[in-house]
Amino acid sequence: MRCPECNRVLINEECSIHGKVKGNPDLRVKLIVDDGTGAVDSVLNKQLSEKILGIKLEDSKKMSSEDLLDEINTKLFSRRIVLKGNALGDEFGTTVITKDAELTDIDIEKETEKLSKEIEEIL
Amino acid sequence: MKRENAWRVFAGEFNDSTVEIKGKEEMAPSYVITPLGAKVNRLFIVGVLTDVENVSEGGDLVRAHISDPTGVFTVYSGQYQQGVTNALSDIAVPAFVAVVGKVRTYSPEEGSIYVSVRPEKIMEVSAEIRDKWIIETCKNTKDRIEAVFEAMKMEEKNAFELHKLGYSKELSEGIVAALSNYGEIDLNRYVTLIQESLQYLVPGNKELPDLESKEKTKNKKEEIVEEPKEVETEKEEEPDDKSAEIEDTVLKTIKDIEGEDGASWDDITKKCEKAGLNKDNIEEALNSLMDKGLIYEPVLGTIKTT
Repeated sequence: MRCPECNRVLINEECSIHGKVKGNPDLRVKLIVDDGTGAVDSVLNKQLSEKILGIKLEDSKKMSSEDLLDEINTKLFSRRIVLKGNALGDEFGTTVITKDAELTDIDIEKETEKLSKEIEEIL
Repeated sequence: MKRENAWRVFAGEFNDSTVEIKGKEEMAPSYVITPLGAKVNRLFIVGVLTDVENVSEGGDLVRAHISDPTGVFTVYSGQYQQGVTNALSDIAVPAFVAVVGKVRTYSPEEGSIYVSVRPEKIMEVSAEIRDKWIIETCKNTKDRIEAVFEAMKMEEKNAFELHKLGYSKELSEGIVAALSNYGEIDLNRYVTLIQESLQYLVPGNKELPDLESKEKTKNKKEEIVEEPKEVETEKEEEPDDKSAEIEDTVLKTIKDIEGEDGASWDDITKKCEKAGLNKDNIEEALNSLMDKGLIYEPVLGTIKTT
């Protein structure tokens, strides 16, 4: 929920500047992407969240927050994702300001073949 | 503080680990060093959840096993991971699961350690995701083998030089620690590990302890591929038939006598011997059934059907 005046996130249904207001709902996904060599975190804005989840904000409003979280986890956890955007480094690691996000796939058969060959070369 | 990487490590490599680096200062992270130099604090695994059991009276602590192509991860989840503990109890085994978790170690005596995983998050996943994890883990394992190989060539092994070759700081440090602690590292064992894992991905070869219903649909697609195999085995059909018969008998026996917690190995053997089988055949059948994933051993000496 966000304040209709300044767009800040509401805490306990109150905006820290404008006090008690009727908030506007928002849909954002916070994620940590780890590729085995390192991890970045990122927050997806409404547009990208809708795209990645395939759920519109309107529909998500009808779901309970537990159900929505479940849905987000099923759709995203352990999947591969490509994020494009600017990186921001700080003491907590790297944050990606994501401009575009997409779930990707790998071709299992091709990869298996390629790896088998590479392994034979090692031997 | 940087987030710890979620390493992709096969159970075969992870369980071989006997080296732990304990954080000295307060709140400093501890690591387990695998024989291939992965410096693991957090890891990401996908495999088959084979069993979940309560190990405390209040039900606060559960132990589960997750098997991948190379071995079995032991997972403990307690009251501080209530979400995971509940999820574990809710998932019907066997099922494919993905887990992100932290390394735990248990050292009953000096020099021997048991490694386990304390999950932070667990989700049921599809067979496809499992396959992708195998690929990724194969890749990561291969990279580590290569890095260890490079390090072995060096006269003086130090992390800085390795890092200069393009390996990550964590891996470089891990490898140096591994080399000084494990002595000779049997790289071939891990190459074989990768090869075996890749075998699971070759169509027509998926014989992991899988979900039966999923297997059936898969098998349909693979019928064509499997045909030539059948021709090959025809010559040995007679003994095969016999052992299949024995396996059937043994499996039935287990199903007859197993309770909630399975059946003891001795009871099974006794009962099967009464049915006219000899001890060797029974043991062979049990092993074969275990390979096929139809039964498993939740506790040593106790057999349960999946």
